Amino acid sequence: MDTLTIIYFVYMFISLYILSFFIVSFIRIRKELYETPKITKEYGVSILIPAYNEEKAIEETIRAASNLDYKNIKEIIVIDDGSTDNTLEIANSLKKDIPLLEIIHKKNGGKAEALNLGIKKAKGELIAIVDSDSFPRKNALQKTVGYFDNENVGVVTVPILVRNRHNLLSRLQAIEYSVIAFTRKLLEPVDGIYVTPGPFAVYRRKTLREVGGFDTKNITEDIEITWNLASKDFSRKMNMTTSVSTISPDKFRPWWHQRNRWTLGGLQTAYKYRKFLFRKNILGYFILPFFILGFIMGLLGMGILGVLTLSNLFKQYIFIKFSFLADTALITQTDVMNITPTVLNYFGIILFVFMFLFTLFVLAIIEKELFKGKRFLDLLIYLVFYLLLSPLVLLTATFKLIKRDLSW
Amino acid sequence: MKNKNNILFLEALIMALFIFGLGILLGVFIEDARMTNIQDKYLSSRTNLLDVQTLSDIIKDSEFSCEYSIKKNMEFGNKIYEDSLLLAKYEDSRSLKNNLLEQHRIYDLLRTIFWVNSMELKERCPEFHTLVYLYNYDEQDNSEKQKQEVFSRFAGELMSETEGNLVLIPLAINLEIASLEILKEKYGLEGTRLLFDEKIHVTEVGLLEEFEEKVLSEMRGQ
Repeated sequence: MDTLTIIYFVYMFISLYILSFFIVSFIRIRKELYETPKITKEYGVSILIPAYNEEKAIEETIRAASNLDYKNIKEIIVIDDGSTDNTLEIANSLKKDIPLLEIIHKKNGGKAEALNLGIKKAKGELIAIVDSDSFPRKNALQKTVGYFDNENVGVVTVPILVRNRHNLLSRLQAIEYSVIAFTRKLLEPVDGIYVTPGPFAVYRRKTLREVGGFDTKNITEDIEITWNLASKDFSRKMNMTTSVSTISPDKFRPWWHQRNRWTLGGLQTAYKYRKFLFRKNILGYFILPFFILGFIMGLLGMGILGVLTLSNLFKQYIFIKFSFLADTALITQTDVMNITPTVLNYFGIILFVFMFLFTLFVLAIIEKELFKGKRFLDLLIYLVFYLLLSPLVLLTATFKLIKRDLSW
Repeated sequence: MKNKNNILFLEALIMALFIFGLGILLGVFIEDARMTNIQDKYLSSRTNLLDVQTLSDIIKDSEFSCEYSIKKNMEFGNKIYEDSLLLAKYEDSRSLKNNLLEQHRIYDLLRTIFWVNSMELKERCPEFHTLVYLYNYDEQDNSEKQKQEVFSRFAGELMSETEGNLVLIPLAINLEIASLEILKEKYGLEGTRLLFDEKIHVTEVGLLEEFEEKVLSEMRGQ
């Protein structure tokens, strides 16, 4: 067996292991997938909405927050992070309608800084953070506060779904977000939730203060805070009975920038918590190794693919050149008919089928409408092309990191 | 790792190992089946070779026409050429086992015997011709490998073009087959080349067209 075949098998095995993990986890928690802890105490909740140049969405976000079906909302604090558009004016104009609304205006300093300011002002025992372009369902708080009866729970999140689905890119993200949401739930049994995303997460205020709030130097403060909580053994939970919709990038460039930011932030976070590797708790034994493995596999895979592609292109060039010289056929019927798949091809096809079925299964559970009509084609594009973009993002982010360029 | 649910990692590992193991077993089974297929074809080809050898011996000192013998040699030549294509296909698609090397050697030995037998037949039946394609097995140099691909394709096309009386014998020259080593020495054969009736040979891609003309002219001259 040559080295490349061994590497291929290692990739196959790791992918199979991850898939097996999700299957076993699903089997284990399938009955409690949609369970929600009963509310035994009406915790006071402060809602924080950090906003920067969100004039298009801010009103709807504030209204969605004010319409949340929960009795003990202490305040809705919009922290305007030095917006240069009409975000602040729009937010201020809503104060008459929404008595609980408070607006803080500050110089631009980043989302983490804005959130930390909000945490200082917050009066509720729990703090719900809502991105200024995200819209929680009415029952989002009802379904999440019950978890905080367990003193060890530091944060609860919900599925984040894509609201805008008018073009292929946004529809592909809709599939992706659904799969991410479902797999995040499947990580819960081992307390392996590694991000409580910005669009909506409810934190215990005491815990947030205890861990020092959000890291202002990190460009993905939501990943960092989750790892911070994990490092201190605070549990992270996910409720599947509600959801938050968010606006995803519908053009390639902003999508690319967003993915670069996520990847760079992930790398930045992994570097910060590197000393936890194989130590202490789930962060060191699972989250960090999982992240590092994904990083190595992505880069190595890209490297191998790059070398193989170049090598094949070179071979094809030589072959075509020689074929022209010898006046022989470039391709014959026998070439097409005589394709003999290798065992590796069979493995690849089987794994692809597993992944396809798993994704179908997830969508059938979370978003039935994604099944219909041409959405099926979206699913194929998602599995065959869209997922392949991740290693490219990883490569770009790595170059940026090497250059110490944390812009996106 | 206090959580009792962490046994989930182990369960997933067992499941992954089970599926992966099944996959490997299936892979071994597929490659073994291909090996068996090649072995069966080899046995059949060996019988056919004995048949054409015996046939050559029979007509050696008799008044038999060459026609029948050429026909049988052509049939056998085409069969082992097809076998060689199949073997090459299986070799390209092998992943788990390297057991086709010995099979390749044994086939090359068979083809060497056939070549030698063909040389004798050509002496008595001049309308019979051979095109021996010599190449390096498992060539690592990309450029040389592509050259071999083109030589192989060219040889196949030339064989179809002549429609009979030309038999193609592909032979790997680096598998340490003693009888082939002797022939290599005798005819001064090194590296990738096409050899027509032990007289005309070509080693450069750019000279293949010229080689084709010579071969066709030689065959027309019969």
